Amino acid sequence: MADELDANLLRAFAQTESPLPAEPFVAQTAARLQPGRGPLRSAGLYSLIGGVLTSLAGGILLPLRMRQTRLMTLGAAAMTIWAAFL
Amino acid sequence: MTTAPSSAALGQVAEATVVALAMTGDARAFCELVRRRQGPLRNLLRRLSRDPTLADDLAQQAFIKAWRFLPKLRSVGAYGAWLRQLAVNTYLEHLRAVAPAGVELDPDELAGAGDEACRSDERMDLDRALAGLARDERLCIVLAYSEGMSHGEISAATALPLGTVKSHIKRGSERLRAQLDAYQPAREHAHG
Repeated sequence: MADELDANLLRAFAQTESPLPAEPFVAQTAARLQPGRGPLRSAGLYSLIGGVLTSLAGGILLPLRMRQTRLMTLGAAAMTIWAAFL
Repeated sequence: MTTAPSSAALGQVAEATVVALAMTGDARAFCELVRRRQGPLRNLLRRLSRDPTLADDLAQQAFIKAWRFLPKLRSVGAYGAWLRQLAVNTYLEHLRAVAPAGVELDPDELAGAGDEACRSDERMDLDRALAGLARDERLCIVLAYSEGMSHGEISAATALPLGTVKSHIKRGSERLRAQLDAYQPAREHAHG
């Protein structure tokens, strides 16, 4: 079923729709767009920041992983030697 | 080799093409979209906020969001509805910031804002009558009557339940109609 609306109110809304001068508004909006910060440039910036953060996280986590590997290797060697002397 | 169309040429191009250009980061194409859509968007926000200065600021905020998120637009044909949704969201965010849910601003104070001398009697009557409606009621009424949105679309745009939207529109229409009927004889009497 179609949404029912009051015909008189529809007419009142249509009649009172006023045209507005475009140019000052367009100029003000264009000034607020910040040239050089368009959607693609923003996307590029976000991607750059993302890349830097990922690299930093990798740089921090990788040595930790290596340290764990070293500890595991040392632990395994110690257990082998201990088992050999038992 | 292709060259970007001039600003004047952009005015003759179909909107879908201008949207596609703006999505690639063409600021001139986006300004053409602002030029084309500013009227309906500002009128919508003027009806909702009842303050021309605030409405223009909210419209600019909506356009800035559109510029920023344009690459995420799924289809160029959806631009109009998407922009309107951004405007409604911007208005609702503004309301949440200035007045918590349920707190209604003073209609008389808000209705007095702006360049009333430029407005027709009918427009003033309608604006005054709209100011008398509750916030959500006015939102539903404006989206239905001014934007031609269906009840379902309004429900989706405002996150109000469909039943609530229907009752807001039904009751709001009745109240608006009654107020406009009351203004009419008073205005005719005042004009002699």
